[in-house]
Amino acid sequence: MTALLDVRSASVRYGAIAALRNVDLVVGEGEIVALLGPNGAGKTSLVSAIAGIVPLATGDVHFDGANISNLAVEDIVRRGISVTPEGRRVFADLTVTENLQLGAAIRADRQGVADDIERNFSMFPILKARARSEAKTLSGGEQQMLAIARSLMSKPRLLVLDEPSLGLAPKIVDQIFELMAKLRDEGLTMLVVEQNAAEALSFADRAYVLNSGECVYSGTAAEVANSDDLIAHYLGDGIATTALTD
Amino acid sequence: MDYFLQQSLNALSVGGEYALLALGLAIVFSVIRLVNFAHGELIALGGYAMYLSVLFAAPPVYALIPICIFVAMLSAVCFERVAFRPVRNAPPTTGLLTAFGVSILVQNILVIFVATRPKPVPTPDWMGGTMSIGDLDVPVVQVLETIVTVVAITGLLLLLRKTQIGLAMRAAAKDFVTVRMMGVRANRVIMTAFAVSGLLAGIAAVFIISRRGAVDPFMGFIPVLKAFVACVLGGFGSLAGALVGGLVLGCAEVFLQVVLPSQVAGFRDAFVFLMVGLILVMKPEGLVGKKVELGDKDE
Repeated sequence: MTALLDVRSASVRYGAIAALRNVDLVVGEGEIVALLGPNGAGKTSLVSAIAGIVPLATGDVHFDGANISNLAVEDIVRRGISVTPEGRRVFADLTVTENLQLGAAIRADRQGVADDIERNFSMFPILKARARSEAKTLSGGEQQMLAIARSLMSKPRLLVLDEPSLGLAPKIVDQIFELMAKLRDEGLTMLVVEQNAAEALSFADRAYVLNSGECVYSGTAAEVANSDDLIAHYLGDGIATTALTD
Repeated sequence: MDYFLQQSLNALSVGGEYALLALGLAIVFSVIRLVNFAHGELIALGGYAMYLSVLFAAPPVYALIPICIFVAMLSAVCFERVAFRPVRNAPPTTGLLTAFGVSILVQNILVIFVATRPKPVPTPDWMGGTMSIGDLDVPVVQVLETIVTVVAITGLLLLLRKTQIGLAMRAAAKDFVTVRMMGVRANRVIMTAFAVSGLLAGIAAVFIISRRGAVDPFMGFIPVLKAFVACVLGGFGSLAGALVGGLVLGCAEVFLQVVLPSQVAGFRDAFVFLMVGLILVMKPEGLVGKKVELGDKDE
C-alpha cells in the first residue's frame, strides 16, 4: 500500500508547552485510520498541523509524495485534504446550501458543484429538508452532517474528521458512523480522530493511540481493541463513556 | 405636505450617504476587526483625483465621476496592501493606530503637495439643478443620491448572497480560519472587502463633492466620524446595523435641522449626538445589534 499521508516525527509547541512530540503517522490510500487518546493527548494538535493551522516545531507532513508542511491553510485543501474541524464549525449565518457552496470554493465547475450538492442531499435527506435554513438553526447532529457534507464538496482524496461524535446523542453518533461507513465503502480514505474508541475501532483498519503528546501505540484496529492494557490505560474513558449528551 | 416630502427626500439622501460610508466601515470591520479611520481619506483622495484631472487633463466633467470612484477604490486596496496587511496579525490597537497613521499621512501629503486651502472641483451642471416630480421641485442630487444608494446596496446584497467571494466574506465575519480551510484565500477576501468599502466611499464622495463644490485635505474627517457614529448606533460590525444606523442618523439630522429654532440650529450636531447617546444608554448593543452578555457563547 502506498502512503497517501505521511507524517514524520511531527512536534507542535504552544509557547513552552509541547502539545505533540515526534509523532509518526501514515495513512495509506483507501485506508481508514483512527487516531485515539484521552483529552489533551495532542490529537487535535496533530490535525491542526496537518491542516496548516499550527506550524510544526519539528518534522514534516507529506501528502501524495509532496512535502506540504509549510503550505498555508488555504492550500492544504487544494492538495486534496479536507478537514472537518472539531466542534463542526459550520458557517452559522449561512444557509445549508450556502455552506455547501462555500465548501466547493476551490472548484470552478459550476454544474459539477450543483450536482454534488444534490448528491449530498440524497445522502443526507435531513439537509435537503433544511436547505434554505441558516446553519445555526440546525441541531448538533444535523450540523455535524452538514460539516461532513461541506468537507466532501471539495472532492477530497483524504477526509480528516476531528471528533465527529463529540457532544452528540448515542442515536446520532450511530448515524454519523453509519455515514462514515458509507463513505468508506465508496473508497474514501479517512483519518478519524475520536475519543469514542469503541465505535472508531469497530470501523477503522488501523489505529494510533496518543497520550500526552506522544504516540504510545500503533497497530491494526483489532489489536488495539483486544489490548486490555491500552484500553485500561488510555482509552478507558472513551469506551466507558460513549458520548452522553447532545 | 410638499415641504414634508421635500425634507423626507433630503433625509433619505443624507441618510443614504451616511449608510454608504458606514457600510464601508462595517464590511472591513466584519472581516478583519479593523475600524478603518482612514476611510475618510478615501473620499478626499477621490476628490483630489477629480481636482488633479481637471488641472492636468481637463477631461469632460462627467468623466470625473468614474475617476473619483475608481481612485477611491484603488486607494482602499492600496491602504490594505501597503499599510494594513503587514499588521494584520498584530493586536487590534495596532491596526487602529495604523489607520490613524494612514489618515494623517494622506492629509499631510495633500497639504504639502497640493494646498491647505480648499480647491474647487466641478461636477456636472445637471447634478446641481432641480427637477420636478409631480408638482414637487426637488434637487437632482438628492434624487440621484437616494437612487444610487438603493442600487449600491442592492448590488452589495447580490455580491454577498450570490457570489462565492460574497459567501466567503459573510462566513469570514464569524470564522475566518474555517473559511480558509475551505480553500478561500484570506488575501482575496480582505482585498475584496477593502475594494467594496472604497467603491462605496467613492460613490459617496461624488455626492459630497457635488454639494461642497470643493475639496480640502481634511474633508474626510467629518464623514468618517458620522459613519462611525452610524455604525455604533446600528450595532457595530453588522451590515444591517450600518445601513439602519446611517439612515437613522441622516433622518435625525434633517429632522433637527427643520424643527430646531434658528438660535440653536448651529448646535444641531450636539443635539444629534445627544440623541445617539440616549439611544445607546437604552440600547447599548445598537438598534439592530443582538444583546450579548460577558460569557455568552458565540453562535
